[in-house]
Amino acid sequence: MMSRSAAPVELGQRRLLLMAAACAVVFASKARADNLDFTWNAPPQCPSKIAVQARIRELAGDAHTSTARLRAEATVSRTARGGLHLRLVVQSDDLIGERELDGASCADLAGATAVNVVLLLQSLQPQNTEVMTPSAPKQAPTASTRPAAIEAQPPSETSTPRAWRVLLRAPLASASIGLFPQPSVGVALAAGLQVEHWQLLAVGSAQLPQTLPALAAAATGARVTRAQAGVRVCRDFSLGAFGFGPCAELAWHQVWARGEGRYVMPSAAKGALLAVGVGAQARWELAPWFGLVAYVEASWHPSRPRIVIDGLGRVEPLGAVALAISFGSEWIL
Amino acid sequence: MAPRTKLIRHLVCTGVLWLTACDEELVVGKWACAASDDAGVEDRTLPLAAAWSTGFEEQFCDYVRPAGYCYAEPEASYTVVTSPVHSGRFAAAFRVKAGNADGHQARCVRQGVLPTAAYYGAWYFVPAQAANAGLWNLVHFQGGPPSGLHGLWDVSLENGADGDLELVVFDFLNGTTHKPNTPVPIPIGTWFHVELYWRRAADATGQVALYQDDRLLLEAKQLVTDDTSWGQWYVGNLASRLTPNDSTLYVDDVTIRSTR
Repeated sequence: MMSRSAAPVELGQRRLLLMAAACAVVFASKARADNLDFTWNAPPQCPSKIAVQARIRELAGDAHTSTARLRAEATVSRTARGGLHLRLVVQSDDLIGERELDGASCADLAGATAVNVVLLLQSLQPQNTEVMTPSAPKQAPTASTRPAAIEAQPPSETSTPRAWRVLLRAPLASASIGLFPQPSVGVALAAGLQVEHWQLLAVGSAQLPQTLPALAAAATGARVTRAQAGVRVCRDFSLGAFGFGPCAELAWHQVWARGEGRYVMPSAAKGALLAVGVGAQARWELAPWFGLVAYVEASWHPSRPRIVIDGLGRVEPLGAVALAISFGSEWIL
Repeated sequence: MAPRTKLIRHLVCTGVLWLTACDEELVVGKWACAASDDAGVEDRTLPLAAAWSTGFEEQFCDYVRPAGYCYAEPEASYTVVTSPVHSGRFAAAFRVKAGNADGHQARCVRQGVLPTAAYYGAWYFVPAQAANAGLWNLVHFQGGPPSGLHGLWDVSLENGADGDLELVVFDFLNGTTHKPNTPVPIPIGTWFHVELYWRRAADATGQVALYQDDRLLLEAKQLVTDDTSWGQWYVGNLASRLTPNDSTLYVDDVTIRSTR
């Protein structure tokens, strides 16, 4: 049975410490890098296995003190909060060492993997278990077949990754049907915070103008432009690099209208309407700082302006319900 | 509405109540062509274009501008309708009460110096059979000075021997009714096209010809067809004695053209 007690580590705070430890390892003893059976599981945007192995050799040197076969497996995955997580397991015979690290970039974790492989390789040598990080508790392998667990980091170095992040979604292309007689297209943006699994976003969009035809005459109507601003709350569920979840939105729509037609003396008017909506979003984080996002929403407009041409009557009314979709880039700050 | 009242209403309507009844009204223009019967007579030398049409898509504006108008007696009416239509979104409906001096006609008029020769056409829809004991006029031409307008030509409906409604032409100048040699009943509840070719002439070189759905019904040549230089063309519904009294005729795609 394997026991482990690994804690997430913030790389930025300990990179120097780890590098110093690695140097100590390299110069204090000879690692067994060439006998290493190394497995590297990481997203495509991460450094390659070859690059990580080269880094391990560079740190460990080329001498050998043992012919024992070693096996190391590093797995980088996305966290629920969009960061990256490294799980590193090193095995030599019946001895197992394991570390878990959280980081902001793949390059950092690749470097940390090389450093930690070297550290763990060294720590697995009974005569060198003291070469752990300076404050790391030592745990000598037992004589039994029960694998030993090695504390990856001292408790004093454990910290919690940032629980919030800033989201900026722009540019977004948007399209909607239902409010206007014809489908309308436009641009949108959103900005806000994600705290744990909750997102609070300020959203805005503008649609291209559209003519609403008069009910009582052809080639006559009102040219209407619409923009909206609102607040959206989403619950985000993550599956690796993907996220999805339901949302609720309250928005204020502003419409500007102007009559048009051969027999119309036009004037301009503007009005507003409120919209309440529910929707769903899907996200795909291509990098810790960038991703794609799509959002679909159904909204209800309980009160809508009536657009009329004096002496002729109403133009096509605005719809009470609408369906909108938007998609585009998400920047994670 | 006072600005303060408007503001309060706006806040209420778009605020917590969200009452649909509060829908705000945005006025985005003025219809500059409200049909009226008070259109004045413009320059009496103004020629009427030999190519003109209206499908009532912009209500009756094509009549109002540049030279024309529509009118109805107090108990008659004319409106645009969305059904039935011959083409486009709209057609015109002319409703009259036959025999009622205050409601027996509703028509639209084009006026000016009429073309020397032209085809005057319109699509008609008669929704129901009727018995005509007087005048049931669809198309009327008159001309002359403002103080002395007189009739020139009529295209009207009469009941044939078997009761069917048929087109006839009346020549005001000669006091003659022209009937087709082979009468063709108009269809009921179906659009049909009525077109009159009129070559105006103050001497015996004039000509008229009546077509129903592109079929030549009758033709008269070498006669005086007009003794005026300015005229009016009426399209609509005028009925003096009908059973039943109430009559609605639908009209669409009215045209003037120089060739067929």
